[in-house]
Amino acid sequence: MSVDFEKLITDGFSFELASIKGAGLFASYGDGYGEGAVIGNPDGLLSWKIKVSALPDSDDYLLNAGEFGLQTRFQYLWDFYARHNVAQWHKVFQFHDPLSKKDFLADIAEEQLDYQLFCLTVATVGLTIRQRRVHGVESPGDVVEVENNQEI
Amino acid sequence: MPATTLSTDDQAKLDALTALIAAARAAGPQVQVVELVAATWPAPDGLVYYASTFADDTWPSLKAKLAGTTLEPRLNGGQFLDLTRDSGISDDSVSLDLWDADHKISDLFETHGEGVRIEIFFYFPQVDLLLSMWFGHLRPPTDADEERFTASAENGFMSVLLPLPRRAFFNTCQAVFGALLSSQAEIDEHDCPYNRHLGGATGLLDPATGLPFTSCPRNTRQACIDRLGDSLSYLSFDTVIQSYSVQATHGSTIATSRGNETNLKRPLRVIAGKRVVRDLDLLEYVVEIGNPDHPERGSIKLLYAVAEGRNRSLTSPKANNTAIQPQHFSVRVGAKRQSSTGFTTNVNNYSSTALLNAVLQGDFSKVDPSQISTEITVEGLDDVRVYASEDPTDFVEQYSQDRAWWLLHAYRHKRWGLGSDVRRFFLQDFRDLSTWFADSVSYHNPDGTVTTAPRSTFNAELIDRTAQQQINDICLAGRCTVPFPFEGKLRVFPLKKLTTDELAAAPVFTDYDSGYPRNIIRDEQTGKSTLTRSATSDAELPNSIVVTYNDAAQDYKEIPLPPIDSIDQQLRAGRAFGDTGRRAVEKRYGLLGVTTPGEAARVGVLIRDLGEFDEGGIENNQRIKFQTFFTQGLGLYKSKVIRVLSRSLINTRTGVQRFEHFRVRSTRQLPNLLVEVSAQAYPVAYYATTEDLTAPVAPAVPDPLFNPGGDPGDRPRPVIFPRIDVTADQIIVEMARS
Repeated sequence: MSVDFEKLITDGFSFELASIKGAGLFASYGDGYGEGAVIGNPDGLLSWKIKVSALPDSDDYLLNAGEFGLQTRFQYLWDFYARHNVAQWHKVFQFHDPLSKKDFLADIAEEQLDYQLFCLTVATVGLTIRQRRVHGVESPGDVVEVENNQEI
Repeated sequence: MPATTLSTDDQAKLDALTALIAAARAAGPQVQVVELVAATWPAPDGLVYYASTFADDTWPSLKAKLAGTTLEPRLNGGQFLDLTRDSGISDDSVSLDLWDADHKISDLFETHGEGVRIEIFFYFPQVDLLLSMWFGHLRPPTDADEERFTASAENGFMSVLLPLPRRAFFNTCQAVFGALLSSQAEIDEHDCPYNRHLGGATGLLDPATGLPFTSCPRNTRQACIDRLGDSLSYLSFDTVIQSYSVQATHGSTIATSRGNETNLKRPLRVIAGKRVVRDLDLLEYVVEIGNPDHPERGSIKLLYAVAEGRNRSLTSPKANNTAIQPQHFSVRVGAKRQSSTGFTTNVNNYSSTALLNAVLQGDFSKVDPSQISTEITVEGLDDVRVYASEDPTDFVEQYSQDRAWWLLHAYRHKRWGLGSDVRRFFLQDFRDLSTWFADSVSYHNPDGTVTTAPRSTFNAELIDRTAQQQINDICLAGRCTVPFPFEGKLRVFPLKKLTTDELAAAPVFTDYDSGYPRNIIRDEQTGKSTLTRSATSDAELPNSIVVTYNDAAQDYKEIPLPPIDSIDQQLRAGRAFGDTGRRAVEKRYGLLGVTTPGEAARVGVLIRDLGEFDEGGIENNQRIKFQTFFTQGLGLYKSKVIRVLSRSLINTRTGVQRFEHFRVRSTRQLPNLLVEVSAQAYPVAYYATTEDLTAPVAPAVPDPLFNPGGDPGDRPRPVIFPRIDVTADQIIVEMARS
C-alpha cells in the first residue's frame, strides 16, 4: 500500500539518543534459570530524542518546507507539531533515522505542549520521536544517505 | 499418548514448536507468540480476528493463514487473556476487553446479540502454527464505556445450564423449520423435513410467490399443512379436545377427551438402554361411562408421553402394579411422523414422542387420572450414532447401552440434547472410551463372589436436570473426564491406569536441580518456588460412600448399596476430632446409568479411594499447585499425568517423595503467560492393584465391626419386640421389658 506521509525535515537537529524496545515476557526458574518469549514485533520499536540547541525564528535561517513554503526553523517545527499533535492526534509522519539511514514512520510522543513548554522541551530534554507502524505500509524504507547540512 | 486432533501438517508444526522451545532453553532463538480472538459474527458480518496489534503486518505468514479474514487490533497490548481451562461444562468465562472507540463492536453486539462464537488462538510465526487454546460464546457487555467494550465469553458454544433433555410440553411446534437449514444432513438431524429450498421433493411452494417458503410461524397445525401437506411433523403437545358418544345397552353417554399437557412442567424424558419407566407424563384422557347405572362397567382411556423417540421397544405396561392386557394398550416408539394411536379419531400423532395408549376398565368417574400409577418397560433410543471415523457422516444409528456414545449423543442431539456440532469433538476419543468401557473387569458381588462384566454400561433415564449435571453424572459413574476443550476440539479421556511406558514419558516439572531442567516458576524477588501443596482434612474427607443404582434385577428400582467404608480412614477422622473413636464422613452418589450391584460397588470404591474424577480421595489426598511458563504448559490438559519433583514434597526424615505423579485438574493461563497448574496425586501403586482387568476392586462388603448400638466386635443379632401395636396413624413398639 502506498501512502504519502509528511516527512519531518531534521536539518539542524541534534540526535541525543536512539533507543529500541522489545516486547516480551519472562519466566524465572530461580538461580538465573529462566525462559522468555517474544510477544511483539521482533524488530522492536525505536525511539529517538532530538534536541535543537538553537531554534531561530529569524528570516536569516529559513528552510524550504515544501508545500508550506519558506519558514523560519522555529515556525516550521511549531507548525509541524501543531499539524501532527494538535490538529491531528499523534499523526504519523516520515522520519529519517541517521543511525540506520532509513526512513521510519513515527510520531511525536509529547502531548499538550504549549508554546513555552515546546521551546523548553526542544532546547533541553528534547522531543521524543517514536517509531510507528501503519497496517499495510512497509516501513522502514531503504537506506538513504542524507547529510545534515544546515547545522548552525 | 492420546491421538492428536491436529492435522498432520499442524502436528508437524507443533513438533517443530516443541523443538524450538527446547532449543530456546538452550540459548536458541526464543519463541514468538501472538494471541488472536476470533469472533464469528453471524452473516453478513462473518469471522473477524482481534489482536493487540496488526500481527498480520508483522508476520506476513499470518496474513496468508487468515486468507483474507479481517484482523483488527483491539486487544490490550503486552498482556494475554486470563484463560482457565477446566472442563467443558464448567461455568468458566474469559474477560474480553476490546477497544471500541469507533463503536464498531457495540454495533455488532447490538445487531447480533449474545451467543456469538468466540475462539482464542495462539499464533506461532516461526512455525506458522495457529493453535486453538479455548472456545466459548459471547455474553453481554459489563461496564463498557465509550472507549472499551468489556464483556466475557463463556465456556462452550451453548450454556450448560440448559435443561437436558430440554423439550418442554408446549402446544406450539418446536421443530426448526426445514427451510432455515442449509443442508439435507442438517434437515435429517432435525424434525421438520421441508427441503424444497434445496431442490428436494418434501414440502409445498408458497402460493403467494410460487417459491419455496422461507419461514413458518409454527403456531398451528394449518401452518404445517400449508408447508408440508400434512401435520405429521407438527412437533407439539396440543391436545385435540374431542367428544364422542359411548354406546351402552341402554342408551349412550358423551365422553370428552381432556388435555393434561399444561400440567406437565418438566421436559420429556430420554431413555438410554433398558429401563422400567414410571411416573409417565399423562397427555390426555377420556373417562367413559357407558351406563350411568353401572359405572363399574366404564373405563378410562389414557394417553401417556413416555419418552423422546425413537426407541427400540415399549413393552409390558402396568397400571397400579397390574399388567395391562395386550388388547388394552398400544404403543408408539416415537418415530418421526409416526402414525397416531387411535386414542381419539383426530388425536395428534405426537411425532418423535414415544407413547402409551391404554384403556383401564372400571369406574373412573371420580378418579384423578394423574393418580393412576403407570409404568412400562422401555428399550431406549435406537438412533444413537456410533461413528467409525472422524468423518461426521461416517456413522450408524443403533440401539446402544454404551456410555461413550450416549455421552456424545447427549451433547449432539438437536431436539433434546445440547445440539453441539459433532465436528467439535474428536471422535476417536469416543471410540477409545467405548472400547475401554467394554473391557471385562472383575466385580465383587454383594455375596462375595467375583464375576466379570463390562467396565461400564449405560441404562439411564435422563430427566429434569441441567446439561451440566447430566454430563457430570454420566462421566462420574463411567470414570472418565467430562469433555474439555483442547487444541480446538472437545476431548474426553478415561481415568485409567497408565502403563509403565506412559508413566516414564510423563512430562517432568521441577523447581530444583533434580536432574531435569527447571520449569516451575520461582519468585524473582524471594526465589521461593510457586509450588504449594494441600490436603483435605481427615475430618472432611469422605470415608463412607453410599452409592445408589437402578438395579436391573429389581425392575430398575433405585437401590442403595451398603456403605463403602474405610475403617482406617474413619479412625483417622476420629483422631482429627481428638478422640480415638471412628467417625463416618458420609457422601452419597446416584450412579447414573449403572444397573448392577457389582459395577456400582466398583465405582463406589474407586470414588472413596480416588475421589470424584480422581480429584482427591483416601489414596491420593495431596493436591499441588504451581506456575510454569506457557511453553511448558502447551501440552497439558485435564487428566494428563505429569511427574513433579520438588524438595518441598520430599519427606526429609525418609528422603522419599510420597507422590511423584499427579493428574492435572485444571490449568489457568495468566496475562503474563505464566500457567497455573492444579494437579492431584496419582497413586501409582494403587492404580496398579485396582485397574488390572483381572484384579477385582476391593469388595464393598458390610463392615464386620460396624454394629450400631452394640459393642465393638459384636455380631448384629435379631431383636424381638415384646409388643407391637398398630393404630390408625402410628405404630407403637415396645423396645424392651424389664
